[in-house]
Amino acid sequence: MMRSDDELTPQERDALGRLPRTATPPPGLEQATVSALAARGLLRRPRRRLDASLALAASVLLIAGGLSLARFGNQAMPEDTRPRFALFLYEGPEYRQPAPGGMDQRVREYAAWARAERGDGTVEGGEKLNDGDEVAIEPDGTMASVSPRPGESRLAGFFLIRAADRRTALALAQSCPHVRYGGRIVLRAIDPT
Amino acid sequence: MPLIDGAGDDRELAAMVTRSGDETAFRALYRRHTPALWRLALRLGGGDEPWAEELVQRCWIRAVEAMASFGWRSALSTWLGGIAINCARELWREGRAWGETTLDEQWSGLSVSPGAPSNAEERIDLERAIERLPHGYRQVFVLHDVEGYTHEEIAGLLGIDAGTSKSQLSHARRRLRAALEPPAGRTERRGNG
Repeated sequence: MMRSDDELTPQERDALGRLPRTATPPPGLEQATVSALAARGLLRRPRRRLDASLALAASVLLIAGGLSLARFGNQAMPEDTRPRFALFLYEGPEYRQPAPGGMDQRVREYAAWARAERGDGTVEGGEKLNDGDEVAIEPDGTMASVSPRPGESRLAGFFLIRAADRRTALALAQSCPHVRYGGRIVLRAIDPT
Repeated sequence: MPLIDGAGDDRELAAMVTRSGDETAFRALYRRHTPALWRLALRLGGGDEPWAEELVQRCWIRAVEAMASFGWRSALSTWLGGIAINCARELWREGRAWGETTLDEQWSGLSVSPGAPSNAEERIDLERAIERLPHGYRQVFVLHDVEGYTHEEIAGLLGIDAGTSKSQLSHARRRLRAALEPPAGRTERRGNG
């Protein structure tokens, strides 16, 4: 397709112009790059506050609130000595994703639940986990991308809560909108030590 | 799920990264620009994926380290491309051009489609032929004929004379033309069984 002199022919230019300009990078590269930057102190993990502006801005189901203020010794807050629990939110095939254009409403619903004043417990924080960048570190140190098989549930996020006891924590978890949309929640008590 | 993919321009996202190490903003930048960086890295590295991964990761680390001083006199993608090329030079100097082959190996096994190739076949052959160029030829050819840099720009990026860039390009084109020329007698041999 190329001729012997130094200038490109129109056919050659056309062939070069058709070469793709982008390619899909390996799935684990993003997380490896983020980790490398974080290790150098150049990135910090996102800790999103439970405020309305974020709820409106972010297309997420879960709104994070940072970890317990009491745990980090904030003197302005009275220490909360109630037990802590983690709620792990799973999404499987039965989870009903919002209709197109309905994400904001879903976000506001989860945020309202997390912010609500209630007597049975307090949502301290949470995180929405990104899709598509799961990497497993094997015991031998090798890394592999992890993709859920069809029909398999995947961990989509978590909340950290305080409640008087396990029964109260379960009641709080049952009230989470995630359950109403077909999501599954696993509750685990956090070891206080 | 990305929090802010598609939201905010490069400058806004870069400011979030430099101001507070915002991981979410970085991921948005990464996802926007890495497909082009990945393609460039693969071409510069002769299709060597581990080398390309090292290059892309190093490129992003350098970019985040220097982002605060980026003057925005060019597009972020252009700036990133320049960083990638510098990182490629570093990797070559460090002896990590893993895709290097001997001159004999460069042309053996190069697929040449008999008869008039389809666009897809031609593109695959051209990609493979570019991958097999000696890296000095390859980097100039990729930067000039694929990425559109001028010889003066290449000279600045690679730390060589513009005349050297022209000479390397001329050699590269001749190599490619020779490589993409169907071998004499090949079709006839196939026809004779």
